[in-house]
Amino acid sequence: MLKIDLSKYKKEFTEYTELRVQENRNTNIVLVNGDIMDNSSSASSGISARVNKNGNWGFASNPVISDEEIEKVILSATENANFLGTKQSKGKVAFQKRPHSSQNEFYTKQDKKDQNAKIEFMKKLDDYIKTKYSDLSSRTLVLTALDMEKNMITSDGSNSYSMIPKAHIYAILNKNVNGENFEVFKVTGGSGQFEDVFKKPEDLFKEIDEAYNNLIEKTEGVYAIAGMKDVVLDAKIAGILAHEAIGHTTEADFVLSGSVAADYLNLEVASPLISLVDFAHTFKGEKCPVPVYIDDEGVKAEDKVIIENGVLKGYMHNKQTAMQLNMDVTGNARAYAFSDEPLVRMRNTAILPGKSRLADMIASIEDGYYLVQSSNGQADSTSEFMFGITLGYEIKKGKIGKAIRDTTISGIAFDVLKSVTMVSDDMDWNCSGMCGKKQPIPVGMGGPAIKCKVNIGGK
Amino acid sequence: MKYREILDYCIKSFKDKGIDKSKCTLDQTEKRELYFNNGSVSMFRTTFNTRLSLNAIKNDKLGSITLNKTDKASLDKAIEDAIALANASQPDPANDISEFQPSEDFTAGVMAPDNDKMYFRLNEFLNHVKTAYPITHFEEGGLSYIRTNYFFKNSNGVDYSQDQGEYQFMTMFTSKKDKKISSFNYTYKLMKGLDEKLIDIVNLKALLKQSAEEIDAKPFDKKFTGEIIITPDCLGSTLSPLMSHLGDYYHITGASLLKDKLNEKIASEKFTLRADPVCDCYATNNFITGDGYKNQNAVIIEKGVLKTFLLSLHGAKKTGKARSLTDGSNMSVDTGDTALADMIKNTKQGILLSRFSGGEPNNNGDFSGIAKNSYYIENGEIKYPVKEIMINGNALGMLNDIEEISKESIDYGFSNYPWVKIKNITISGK
Repeated sequence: MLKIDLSKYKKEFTEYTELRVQENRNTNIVLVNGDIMDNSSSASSGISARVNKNGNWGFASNPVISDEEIEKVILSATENANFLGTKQSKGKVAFQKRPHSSQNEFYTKQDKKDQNAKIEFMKKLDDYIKTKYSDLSSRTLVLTALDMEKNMITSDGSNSYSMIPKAHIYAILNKNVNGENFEVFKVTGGSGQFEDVFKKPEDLFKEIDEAYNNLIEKTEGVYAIAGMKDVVLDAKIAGILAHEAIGHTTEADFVLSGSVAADYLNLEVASPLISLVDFAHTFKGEKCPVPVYIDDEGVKAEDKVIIENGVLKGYMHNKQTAMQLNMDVTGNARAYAFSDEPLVRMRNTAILPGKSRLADMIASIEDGYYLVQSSNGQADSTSEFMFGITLGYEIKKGKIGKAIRDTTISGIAFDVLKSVTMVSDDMDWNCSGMCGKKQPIPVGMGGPAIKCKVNIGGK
Repeated sequence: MKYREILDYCIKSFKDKGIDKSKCTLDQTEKRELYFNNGSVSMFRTTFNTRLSLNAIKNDKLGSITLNKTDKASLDKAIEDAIALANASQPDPANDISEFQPSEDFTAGVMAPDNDKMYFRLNEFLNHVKTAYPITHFEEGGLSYIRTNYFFKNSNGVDYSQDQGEYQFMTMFTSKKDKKISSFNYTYKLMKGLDEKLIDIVNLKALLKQSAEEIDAKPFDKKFTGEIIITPDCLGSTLSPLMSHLGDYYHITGASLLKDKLNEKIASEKFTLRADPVCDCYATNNFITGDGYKNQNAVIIEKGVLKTFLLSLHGAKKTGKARSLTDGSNMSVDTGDTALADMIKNTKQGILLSRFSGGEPNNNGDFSGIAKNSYYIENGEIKYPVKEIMINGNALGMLNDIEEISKESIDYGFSNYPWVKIKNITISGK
């Protein structure tokens, strides 16, 4: 839809310029106890231009996509850079030039399903839950799908077209026991359009059964005992740790504003068992959940090794931070909406698998916890983090014990990574969440399970 | 077509195509932003956007489309798509639109930005911080002007508009000296104008001073049941679980802990919570509720007694309860009669809580998380900044444990909060 030739507008470029046409399309269906609470779709598209003149950025955007408006937006962005130039001068900039051309689109090759078919899919899933698990106090199903379509050129010779989709279904189950409300959620889905990710409702029944079993375990669960504990963080939580607590501290704009990682380059920051990479688009020959082949500054996206065998090896960059720190660009400049400017963002951040078996890791703990699912996470420029834990189990004498009630874990991420003594040999990716940093953005997170020490909240 | 004509066209098209009820809204937004990082203004950004939302109800079945185009071809397609969504949906008698009310147009705030003054104020602020707080660095921030022209119409003849302009300031910062680093902190304010220096707004001077002190934050190994003084910067997020339990989703699923508590005491009698969406005292207003009613100021909790839920028309119809007359925006907590200095003096052992990094409270309101940008208080004195301190409590239960509320409060332009002291909180170090 947005495959228009942008090269004809290059004649309007007078300074370093990026020109982007973009559309984000969302589909949402929400069922609460079988009733459709949301049945909507949305699309937001437009054009934007970003110009750098003597170190000052100018940005402008408009939702109307036409020859006239595109020329106006380029002019407006240039005028905005000029406006700052009348107030301050930062000197001529010399960004690294890495002209690159990229075309990647992941439209489904299946027959497209209309909203009727998607609602039918969700109703079947809901009927399964309603029929099989009548003791639930409430059930919520959410389908959310996002297509991001981008077309861009830059004045330094790059051009790209991409359509990157993702689709997820969330199941939230509640059960009331003696006046107390217990909840679990399960997320399924990933990279691709609805038709590629969800074939038939029956494929999700196993996930629903597992969520229900987790819920029953939670109703019989115990409070965690607060304090510093040996734990196994399941792959999903290790992925969040990699993203939230380590990844953000190594985004070069945060490094420049004083993140703790600024002092750690080429130093040992983690156990030698830990290697952490921000993958651009491919891991072991497979497409990552949020593949980025070229970033929104027109830079070829390449894998960036952040930690290698425990040593901090580098940061993620846009053109400006790479220039300021005299390092190579990495292809991490990404924008969410047409009206957003590119920021330094992660793509697919993962701890690399190790050699241990998950069962052996659990067996090695005398008194600790196996933490499986997190609701939310926050991290600091110090790498101190907090994650809400919504599913976890006691480990007693090397065996899984009772489920625990919702709690939180916290720690200094680099200290936690130094405490890692085992890393599992498997790998789990997900892209259900959105990373927030001025703008939201889809990101992939991955990892194996890790055995480490964290501070757990509880009684 | 101009704005109202666009909505008229959509409503007429829906009617012509057999749609029983329709609701259409349109907003036009203009934003100008001076963005800064690493201590200097880095970007000037101007954006324009349109948001057209179409809701069609046929035989109690609802379909919704949102787009940012208003040309006739896009409108015609969106109308057809909304009808297709409604046809695909399931009937629910709770799908409805607001009844007829007299038309009204609302205007508030500042109608045009002053780009030069925006730059002046921001540059003045950045230069001041560079001198007065030399070890403090900005991760990011911006001074923006946003003007939104919003139109609401439905097939019952409801016809409202709101034209609103405001300045927004946000800054996020951290301090660093040698290899010692503080937690990041941030603040935010909406403003009607730029008469005031940015350094003087909200609690910013105190937050910047604290940020520099927090490079020496230390953990402790105590675990005790004590008091927390929640600062205005932290109070809004502390109250958000309460808002969830008052709103549609928790009531419809039956999970609200407050579902049977209307007109009952749920908090200390010292606690009064208001929503003032149409008060001129704020830099921003919401004159029209999302479901199409003229918004009203209201007391949510009065001297500890719950006076209203926050149910929309849909939530009210689903639950058989009354629709709220307010949408719950622009919240404030009434100030108390204790000076902040005395509140600290009266604290035997506890934490001055400036920011809280916590997990989502569970459905029972239980929460735990880390005290950020916070200080240890002992025997009436602030002792030192702390880190790696965990706090456990219950988001709703603690409203009954309010001991004191400060005389002082801070106006954020969309909320106004005092300092609130709460007892019986579990505080644990490493």
